[in-house]
Amino acid sequence: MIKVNNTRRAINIILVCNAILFSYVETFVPLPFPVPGLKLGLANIITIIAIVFLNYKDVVFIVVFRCMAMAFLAKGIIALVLSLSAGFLSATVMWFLYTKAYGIFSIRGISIAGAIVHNVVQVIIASIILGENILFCYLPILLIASVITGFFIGFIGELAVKQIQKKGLLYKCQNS
Amino acid sequence: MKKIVFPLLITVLILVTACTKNNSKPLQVDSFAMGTIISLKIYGENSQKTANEVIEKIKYLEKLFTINAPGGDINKLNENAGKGYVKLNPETIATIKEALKKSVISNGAFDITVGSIVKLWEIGTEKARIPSENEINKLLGLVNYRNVHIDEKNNCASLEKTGQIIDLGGYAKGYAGEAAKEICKKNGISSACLNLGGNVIAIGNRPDKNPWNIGIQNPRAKTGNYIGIVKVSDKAVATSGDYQRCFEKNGKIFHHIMDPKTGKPAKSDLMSVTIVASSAADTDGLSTGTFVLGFDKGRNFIKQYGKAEAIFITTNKKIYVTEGLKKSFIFKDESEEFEYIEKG
Amino acid sequence: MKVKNSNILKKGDVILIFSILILAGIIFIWKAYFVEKFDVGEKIAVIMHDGKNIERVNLNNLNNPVFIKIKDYNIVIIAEKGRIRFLQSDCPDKICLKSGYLTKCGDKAVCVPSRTQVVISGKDDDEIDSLSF
Repeated sequence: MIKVNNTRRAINIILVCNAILFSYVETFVPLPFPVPGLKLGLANIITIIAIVFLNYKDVVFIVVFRCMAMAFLAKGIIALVLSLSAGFLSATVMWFLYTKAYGIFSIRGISIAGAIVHNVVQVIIASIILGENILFCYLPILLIASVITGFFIGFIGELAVKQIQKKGLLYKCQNS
Repeated sequence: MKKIVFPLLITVLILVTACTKNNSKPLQVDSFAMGTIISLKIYGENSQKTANEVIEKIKYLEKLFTINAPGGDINKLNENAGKGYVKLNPETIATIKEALKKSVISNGAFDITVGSIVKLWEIGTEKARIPSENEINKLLGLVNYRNVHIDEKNNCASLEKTGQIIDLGGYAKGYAGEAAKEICKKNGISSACLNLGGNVIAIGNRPDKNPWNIGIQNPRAKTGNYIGIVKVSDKAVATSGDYQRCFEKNGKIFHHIMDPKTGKPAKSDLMSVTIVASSAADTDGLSTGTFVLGFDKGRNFIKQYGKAEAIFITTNKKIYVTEGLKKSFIFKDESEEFEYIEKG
Repeated sequence: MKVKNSNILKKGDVILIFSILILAGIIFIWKAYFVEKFDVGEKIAVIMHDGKNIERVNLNNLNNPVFIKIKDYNIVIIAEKGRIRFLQSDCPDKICLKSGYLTKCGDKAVCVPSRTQVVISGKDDDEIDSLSF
């Protein structure tokens, strides 16, 4: 039992580190869309892996920790608020879809849904900060960008998950 | 299947809130009442309904208060001057009561019983003329707000002397403005800008949350040209000026704001005075009274009154603004004829 | 739950993508045709910072470029004849810079960290809302 718990913790930490790494790397990837807070969402690959193999608490832990670490690196309170709320909600929605609706959605679809939630929440909060209703202006391009990035990340996520399953890396976690 | 709806529902819900908050197109309605143009700019869901109700109310009050057309309460009161109490609409009683208060605090500079003098000069009509001293003196005795008596409990009022005439001209628009504000409030309107022939009622802020920008007419230029802008929220702005209604004779210009004490157009050192206050009813009467008082007395009067601010434009083209309004006033005179005196 | 080896999109995916794209399309068309945009007449750029209007620039009469500076993030906005844009900003996202030139009424660019917004407003927005006379 203890062995499994330790393993779990170790996995969590590894995933968190990877998530932070991915988040950092993607800051070097500029997207052509001028939407506030729009990112590639590489860290969601990790989130997807966590959702498939771990439980909800772990997923939340990874997402929250990653956001806080990134905010610390980027030194922005605004960034923290935006990414934390968006990340948390999007991870929750993805978890929900995966556990309850996997038959209807593939991981790609779930990732798209997660991307939409994430980006929409960010723009809403940006609206509140600005004091102006900018959501309406950005919605069309935001939705399309989310579909594209979500699909891309979901695709990679799916590949990653398949590989991990094939190699039985997280076998112990899956069964606990 | 029902789980697919989840993300869709979220987006739709967000969309709906985004859409309903996008109420940034105003309803702009213009109408004609009380002898002048009524221009309403209303934002919100019930804007059309509110605009209709406001115009209806103004037309109703016009019929009630007019002395230039038959019917209504004021005509009834005037016809029965010297003949005791007449029963009137409670709104009329309330209006007269408020107007009398203004007379008291302005020491008679504003006096609604100045009607007989106004009718004598007939300024604003084609029959405008300069009456003789005799004619004026005969009627001066009839100008006295203290001769107006109100019995609130029974909704009656009386004018003591025969021949006395109440003219709510310098007051009705203010009262109508107040009534319009109430209608907006009742319909949940939180952003509107109503203009009743130059009397502005600013409700809330503009939709972009900034205060309303109200221009102050340049007293010596065509209508539409202003010498400054005052930024207000939830305030009424009214101006009395010597340019509003006047006629020229023998090279002299006679304006329409009568001095109740002399029976002639007030010899004021002001071209115009603008009053800014929370109550629309206040602004109209105060602006007339302050104009009659002139710059020095007018300034003291406003200071004493305490519940209003003012912008004075003197006959030597200088602009003075009361302390409380200085921060909200922007001097902007394209004609470059006026000087804004900030200290003093 | 084992992840099945499949490359086809599931039912839910297709519906999701489809409806999102249609939604985006509808909003886009709505914005383009129903949100009134006056392209003729006065083009006035309104710059807002910290929730307040700090500057109004009439873009029609501008013969020489005007630079508007904001302390936060060393933001510089350049206003030229008929167009305006964020020229420089030290903010972390640079979304404002990426928005490029604003040329039509209704065009907007925002910088969230500095709470700055530049929008071109149409004829409606004269300097005064009403006149007291």
